[in-house]
Amino acid sequence: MIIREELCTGCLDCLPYCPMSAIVHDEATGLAKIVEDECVECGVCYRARVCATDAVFPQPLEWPRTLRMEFSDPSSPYLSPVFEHRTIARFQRDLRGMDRRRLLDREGEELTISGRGTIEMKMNDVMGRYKRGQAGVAAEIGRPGVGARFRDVEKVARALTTAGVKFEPDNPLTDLMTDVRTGALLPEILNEKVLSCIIEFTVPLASLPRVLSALRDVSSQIDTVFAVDLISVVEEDGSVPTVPVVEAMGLTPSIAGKTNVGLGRPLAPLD
Amino acid sequence: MTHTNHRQGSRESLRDDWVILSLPYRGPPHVMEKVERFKEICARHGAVNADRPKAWHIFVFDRRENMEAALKELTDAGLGHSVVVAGLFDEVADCCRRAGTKAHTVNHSLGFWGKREKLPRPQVLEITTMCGHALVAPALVTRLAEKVRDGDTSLEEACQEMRRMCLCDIFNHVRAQRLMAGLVESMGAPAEESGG
Repeated sequence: MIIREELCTGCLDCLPYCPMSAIVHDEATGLAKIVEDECVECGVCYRARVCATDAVFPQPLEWPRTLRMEFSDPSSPYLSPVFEHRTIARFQRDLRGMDRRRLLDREGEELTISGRGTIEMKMNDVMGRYKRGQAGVAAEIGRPGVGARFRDVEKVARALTTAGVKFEPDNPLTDLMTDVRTGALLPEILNEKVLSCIIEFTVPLASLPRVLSALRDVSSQIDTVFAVDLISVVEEDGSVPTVPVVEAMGLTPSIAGKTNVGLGRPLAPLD
Repeated sequence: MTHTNHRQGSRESLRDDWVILSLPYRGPPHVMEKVERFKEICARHGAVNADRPKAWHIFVFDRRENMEAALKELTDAGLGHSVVVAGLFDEVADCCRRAGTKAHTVNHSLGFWGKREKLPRPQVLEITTMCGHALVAPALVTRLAEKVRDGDTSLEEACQEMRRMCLCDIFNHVRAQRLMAGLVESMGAPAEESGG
């Protein structure tokens, strides 16, 4: 995203809209300016339509900067060649062919929010993706609202492989790895910054302490934050088997979160 | 997608924040008939975001009673689609029992790890995390709070402006008004009125 200097009046109304605080007041010109390296191409400043002179402008993106938009704008389709195999539905192909300005103009029913993770536990009642005796874990690097460089994403991924983690193949981050055994990412993307990027995997319940310890250790080595998610099938008596495991580590599961309420049919086997 | 999983606040604060969502959201006509039925039920039971078209089938409630009534009717309707409810786990489990179903799978947040000093202060975070994609900027929350304090906009207008940034329309603008009122109060009087 850029601000066209010839159109900017210096009102600075756009500044607070940027989730990354990447729009700054250029003291030399008195105008608003986007710090390109900090901009994650989320499109908020453009969609906000707060600029009276339409100075905020979505410039064409080239690889690997395309990743910024793909991971930061929930309405973006996959544009980068590395995600070619993910362009499976007609509407995704249509979106891919749309110029970026029209893409960012879409609203309401025309919008397709495809997400940058998987559907995780949302359909677990009918898919049985998470079984009894397993825990689903996600580390959402950069969330909430801090943003992350892929070099930090790689640090977390590498740390997880030492704990024996196998990455979720349906997560787009896995497409950016040069070696899923080490968590190494494509070298040319490491400085790219995104609003957030999700690392997802499933582990046996017995391995959960080792994996969470690895996450805790690497958390002090990165220049951002990450949100941690913990998925579990609920036992017949209503208990959640992951809770005592993490409490024994001194962690406190949230009092609120998501519950799949078991209305999907037919139910999938969980054992 | 875990964008309803990290809403912040005390138990008391989270009592006016419930989300019901369903998958699938695209499909052949017989599937879409059930999707339309899902949407009709949620809208009729007082979802606070039912006034706008949606890319996802996400409905936000500010009263547990309304969420529970919608859940009960969805259970009775037997649509066969997966439904997720976000909110206080124990209360959702109770609602499930009364509605005739039970919790199947849960997703807990274990919080935010790493350089937590980069996070905005908790009062702002409670508001921004209601857009799980983080499209509501902390600076916007602060700026709008200043405008409310200075009488340049109303609480409702400020919260609708934040809601506008949230592409999924999962931002609870009704809860946001209460949170924003607390934030404005904590800011004190404008500088010129306090002599500063």
